[in-house]
Amino acid sequence: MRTKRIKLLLVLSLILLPSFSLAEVSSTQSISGIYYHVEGNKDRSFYPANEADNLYEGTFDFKNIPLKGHEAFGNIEYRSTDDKLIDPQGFSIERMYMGARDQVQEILIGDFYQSFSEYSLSNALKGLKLSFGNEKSSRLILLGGIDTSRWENLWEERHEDSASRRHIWGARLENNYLNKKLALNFNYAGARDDKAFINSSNSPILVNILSVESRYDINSFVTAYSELSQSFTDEDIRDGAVKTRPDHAVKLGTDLNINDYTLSSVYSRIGNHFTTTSGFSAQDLETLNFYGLWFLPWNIKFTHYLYSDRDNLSDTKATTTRQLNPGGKFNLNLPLDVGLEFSADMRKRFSTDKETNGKTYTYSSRLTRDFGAFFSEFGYTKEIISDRIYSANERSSDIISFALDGYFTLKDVNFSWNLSEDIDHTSHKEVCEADFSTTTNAGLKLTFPSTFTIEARLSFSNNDYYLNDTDSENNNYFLGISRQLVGDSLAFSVFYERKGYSYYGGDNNYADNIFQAKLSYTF
Amino acid sequence: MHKRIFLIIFSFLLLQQMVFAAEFKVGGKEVREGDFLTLFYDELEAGKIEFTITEEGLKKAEITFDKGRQWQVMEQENGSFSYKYRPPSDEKISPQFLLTFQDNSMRTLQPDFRINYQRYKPDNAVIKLLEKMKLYYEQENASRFISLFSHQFPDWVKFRESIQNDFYNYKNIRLRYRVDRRDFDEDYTGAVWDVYWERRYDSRTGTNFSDNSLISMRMDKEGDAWLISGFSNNLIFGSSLLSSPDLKISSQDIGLAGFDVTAVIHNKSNVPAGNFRVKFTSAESFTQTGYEDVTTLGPNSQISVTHTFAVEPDAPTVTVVVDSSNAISEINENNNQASRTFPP
Repeated sequence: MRTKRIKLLLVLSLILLPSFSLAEVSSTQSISGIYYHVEGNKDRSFYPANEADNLYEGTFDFKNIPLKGHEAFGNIEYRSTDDKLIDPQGFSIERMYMGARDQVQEILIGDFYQSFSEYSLSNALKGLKLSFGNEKSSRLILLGGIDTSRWENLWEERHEDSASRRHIWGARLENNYLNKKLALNFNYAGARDDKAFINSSNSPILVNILSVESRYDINSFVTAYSELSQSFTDEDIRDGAVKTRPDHAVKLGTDLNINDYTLSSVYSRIGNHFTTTSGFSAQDLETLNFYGLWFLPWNIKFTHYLYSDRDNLSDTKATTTRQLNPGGKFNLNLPLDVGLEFSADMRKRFSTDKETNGKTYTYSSRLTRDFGAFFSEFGYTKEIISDRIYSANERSSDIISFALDGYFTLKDVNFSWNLSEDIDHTSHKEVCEADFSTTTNAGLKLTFPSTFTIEARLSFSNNDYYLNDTDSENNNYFLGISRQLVGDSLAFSVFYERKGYSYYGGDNNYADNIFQAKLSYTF
Repeated sequence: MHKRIFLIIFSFLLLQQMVFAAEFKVGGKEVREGDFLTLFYDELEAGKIEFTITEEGLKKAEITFDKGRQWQVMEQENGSFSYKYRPPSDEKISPQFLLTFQDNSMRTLQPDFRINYQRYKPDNAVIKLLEKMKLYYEQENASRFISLFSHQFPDWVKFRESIQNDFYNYKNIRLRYRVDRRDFDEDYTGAVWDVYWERRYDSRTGTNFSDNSLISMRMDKEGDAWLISGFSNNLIFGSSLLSSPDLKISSQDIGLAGFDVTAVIHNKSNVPAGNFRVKFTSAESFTQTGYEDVTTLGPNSQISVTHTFAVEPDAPTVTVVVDSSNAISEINENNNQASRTFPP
């Protein structure tokens, strides 16, 4: 009997062990001490005047764990600190999920981000996701959860700084036909705001969305795609009266892709009351955009575009604003391996009530060369802003930037360094005055064979505005060291940073001093 | 009974071998059909991904990463063939193999697994993006700041204009951010992060302001770069045009009836305004001044405010200043004052 069990165990081990050998478990635990000290006018700083804080961060990650023919995976990240700038709560779970999957199905519970389409669902959720099928043929995704920043929001009362808690649900069916030439996807999504997380000046919403997406390869050069979406939104569920407003969004596009030329064209129209579950989409806007890329002889690349839009499709606002943004950019290689890029861009905004009528012309050129030991870059931009309504807005800017970025090795020590200078001169036409600002950045990083690293950075900026009482001078110094102590497992790092701000008159001058030491362990 | 169990188990093992006739390893890890593997530079040896194939009777193996334009010969070692590939940039790698067997027969093989290579770990890459946002916005460098945003960003042209407007209206900008949520999609090419932004700045007239917003940021990986493709609840970036009120009054908006002066104040923006003061001045043989407070004024709406002077103005010039204490940072601060002279 015992021999049989051993044999059976041996055979099962033969099956399972190779799988277990693929299992990966990793973890990082780190502890830091942070000290803040503010000099000068302390009220101006984001940081506490004189305070020492601690920070503990940890992660556990596992994947490729066999589980009844599936692969199990998961992750948890947590943080504990008394530093209110890093986390207003003492302890928080930053990310947490676990799940199992095989070739055709997946279940996931916890944190995940799912994007169905532009006009339906695109949310980060704490919830449940189920997926059945293969994306190459057909697949069904079902999900439900809560869109909120912190896990603590699920069991705590509304917390300061928490923007919202929104319940989300949805389903997506993906289908491929005609040897994958035609893709047809159907989306349904819904969202409902938690009233407790919406302040009195905003309205909690309820929305249901249906959308159909398609993509068809007409031939090997042209692909057409579309999304048609209809939303049904109750824009204020707080008052109890059901008043659903239906509205729609449409997107039609083509991609042309021939040997030396690509062109994307897309038209979209989004209704005034159209809503997605995420809130990332614009509203009451019609756009027509073209974006082309032409590969010319002698390795010249010509990028060109035209973006145009108008709002107030619903005619509910007092004025309609139109915008037009054509532009182009050439990239070419000059002799001596010099790269040249020059571009022109125009943006025009105008409204029907004649309150807005402005244009911005931007001309840019950029020269680059890789000298081997270092990379150099020189750029010049001219920006001219004209405004027919408010002449005070009229101005022209000259922006010059110069940067060097190098790397070399000396006696097994790797040196990487950078140096840059930005100069900005802006003339204000109405007052015949100018703003002038300069920014200088420099950095050096030394990496020794023992993994010991020293990094230093400094930055100065001087801003002389024509309104003298807004003049300022800023400086920033950074010095850090780090080293791996035991193999790749144990590491430490220490840094000091000083950020100084000086203003006209001197009463508001202050400087932030931040010192941090960190010890981390990874397995 | 035992024979049956052994037979079933043996058949299962044999079936596994038949389905996966060739065995693959990527970076030392065994991969199977249908696998999707994400690799980062930090996890590689000298920046190279090692592909290994093992199959019975194999004499020579070649590998391609560009659909057969260039074939690389794999090195033979201990019955396996391997090749170390250095990805030039972030890319999704689907290698194909050209196998030559001992009997000189040849076969091409495209295994159904995909490798997603990224130079920087996505958490670090997105933190770099946030750091650049902070730096360029504080430096008022509009072109570099805008280069961090995708052309897919909703209402892209208006957003560019609004950033330009911010830098014209605000000086000495300082930003601080705190990450409250970080979520990526399955293949680390899309992300939604909730970032709490806090801003302090001076207006062009030197008044100090501060504001904050917990912004839900959608980011997508386009080529090598992570770019911002959407904001939700953004009350910070471009606020001078997108989310600041614009209070306006003109001379036609001022009326006089006996002791009462009426002013119609317009909010020409898409955001509400409130808690501002309206100053009324009547200048004739002597000057009298009074104030009225407005608690709320909705977006794209107007409100009529009446002030009663102690002495009836006689053929005066009445001046009305909206937001006289400059409590509200507006898109346009130049349209807050109007005067009207009434006939005697």
